[in-house]
Amino acid sequence: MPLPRMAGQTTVWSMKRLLLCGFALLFVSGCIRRVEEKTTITWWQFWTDPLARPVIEELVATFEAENPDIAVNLVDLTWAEGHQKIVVAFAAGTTPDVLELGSDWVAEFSHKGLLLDLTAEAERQRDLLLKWEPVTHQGRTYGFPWLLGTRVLFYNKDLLFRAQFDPEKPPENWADWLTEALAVDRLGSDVHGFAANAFEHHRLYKKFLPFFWSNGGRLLSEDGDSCLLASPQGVDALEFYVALCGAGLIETQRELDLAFLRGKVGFTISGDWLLDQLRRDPDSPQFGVALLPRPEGGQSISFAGGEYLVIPKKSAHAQEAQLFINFLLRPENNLKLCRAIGFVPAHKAAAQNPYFLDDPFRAVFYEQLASAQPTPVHPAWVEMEEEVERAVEAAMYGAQRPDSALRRAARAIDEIIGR
Amino acid sequence: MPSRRHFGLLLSPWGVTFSVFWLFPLLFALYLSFTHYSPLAPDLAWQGAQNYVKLSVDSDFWQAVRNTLLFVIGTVPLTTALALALALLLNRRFLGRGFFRAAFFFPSITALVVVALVWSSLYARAGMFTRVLETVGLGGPANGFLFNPATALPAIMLMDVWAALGYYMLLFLAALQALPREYFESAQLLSASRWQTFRFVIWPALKPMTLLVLLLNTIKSFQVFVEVYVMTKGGPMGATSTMVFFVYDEGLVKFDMGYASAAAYALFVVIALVALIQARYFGYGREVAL
Repeated sequence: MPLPRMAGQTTVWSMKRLLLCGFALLFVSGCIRRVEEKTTITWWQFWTDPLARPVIEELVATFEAENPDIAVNLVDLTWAEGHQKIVVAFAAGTTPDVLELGSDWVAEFSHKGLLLDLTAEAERQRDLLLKWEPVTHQGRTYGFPWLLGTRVLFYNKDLLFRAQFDPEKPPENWADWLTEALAVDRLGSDVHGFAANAFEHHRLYKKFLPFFWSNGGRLLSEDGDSCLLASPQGVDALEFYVALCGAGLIETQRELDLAFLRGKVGFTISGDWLLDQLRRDPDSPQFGVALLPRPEGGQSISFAGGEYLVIPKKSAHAQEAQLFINFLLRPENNLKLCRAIGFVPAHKAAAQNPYFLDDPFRAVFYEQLASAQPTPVHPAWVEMEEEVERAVEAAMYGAQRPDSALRRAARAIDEIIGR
Repeated sequence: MPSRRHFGLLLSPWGVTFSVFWLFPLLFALYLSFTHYSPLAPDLAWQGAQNYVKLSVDSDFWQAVRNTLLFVIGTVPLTTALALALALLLNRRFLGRGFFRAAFFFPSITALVVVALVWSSLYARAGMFTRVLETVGLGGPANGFLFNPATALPAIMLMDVWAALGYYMLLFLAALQALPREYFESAQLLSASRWQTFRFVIWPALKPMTLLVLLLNTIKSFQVFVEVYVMTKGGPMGATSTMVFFVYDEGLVKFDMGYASAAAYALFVVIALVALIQARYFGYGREVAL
């Protein structure tokens, strides 16, 4: 009776085959589904205002269309709370795949080994982008320059004219600047010569350091072991700054920008955002934009800030994150965002666009940026800047003489370095 | 009959949230205050009492303590006295009483951030207060009230009194309306003057509410933060830095969690001491059952 047995065997065998095929099918379909499943990368960024946000969304949509297997999860941060959220995310290990960091924040994370070393990819783009210093640490590169910003001198032509100065010739040196600011200040009790920031952390130092650098000051010694804030150049710079503030209105940045928009301030040092505001506002005064005036024998050096893109070390999708960064850094994409927010693109080709070169005001920003300096790349910079601000504030309010205020700050910074 | 087991079960939702969100952070902060801890370098280094020693010589901390005490001493008695006076006034019958009650209460249901922003512009160089002072020939501080180290803290205190007044007025009003009519009738029978009625009838009867108002307002004033954060960020030159702002600055700006925890515990001890003194003075436990 071989037949039934054979038949039985065949049945068993075909059953096995069927099962195997079934498993194979399941496996293949599983693979297919896995291939079809998108990789989602998370991007934390700061651009939420009505002009910038649509551009950000458009960039993400274009990237997703180009890379159907990658989805970008967009998360907004605010300037006021962003730093806290980022620190907490690093502490909790819940960092995103791509992160936007302000130029002065990068060192805090790169020096602690929390960012992915991107030197290999950075080498390929080294000559295409501007301002690598903030993301460089011990010869390695931890991020990409994305958006660059600096601050220039804005002046109110109407007020200069009323104070009997040529409104087409803004001051080029410190002495003229002070004379003109004082003259404007005397025009009336509601008109001020200069817009001076006060007690807003992360802001005041950006206003004072250009004076310090322009006067030949250097924050840290060559070896980075000591603070040179209290040098004669530093003291001179602070004395001049205090004199200029004496012809001014002390307020928050927001109020100062508003006062300039309302035509109440002769001179202010501000960024691209003010230029856009002035151009949008039909009631804004006649204004001009110029390089920061220089001290006798000094230079015109402004503050170089900017936004950088980094990949936290814990990212599980570093490759996709790098793809996305490269996409954002393409000249056309870099330019598109900068046109919406008023920054200078980090990509040299984008910055050479007629949009910047043919616009006389934007050209000033571009020229100022060339000599602008970033803050020292030090993990404890956030603490150091507070000491600088404390000294400037004490001198502004006359609580301490500029030299003793700076000496005190230098001692405190030396202590921070020595820890 | 619910058994003991049910009793525990019914309590557990509260017990769990209390332990996880209150007791644990409280004890953990105490532990942190003896360590050096930064979220970015997450190894806890035991330091013993070093944070407390550092605190005792930190001039910024003492400035914050001084400002906080000034704030409490400057606002709590004034708010309480004004709230009581308003409550007595609005407890009478007159036309538009409802409107005034609502109007005085309104600031305390407005978000403090909004109040602070509005007052910031009132205090500004071109703001209303300076203009009013200029109209009467006095002239305000050179850069507005908040940018002058001498006027910044009083300016915030004044705003705080205005903003807090309505709430405590309402508490006093509630207490006044709960007083039995007989008290006033007996006072009338004895032909007591208005002052005598207040001094010997109303005031003793209001004591428990006064204690509550003082306690709540003192604790709230020791914890003043939002006003400072929105209006001055502790400046100019630390003139408005308060203890909670100090804790915030050390913990969430400089991320020195151990040091911030130590400062927070110092604040806790100060508040506990003051609350104890107030309770002792008002005879908590003796008259509260009135």
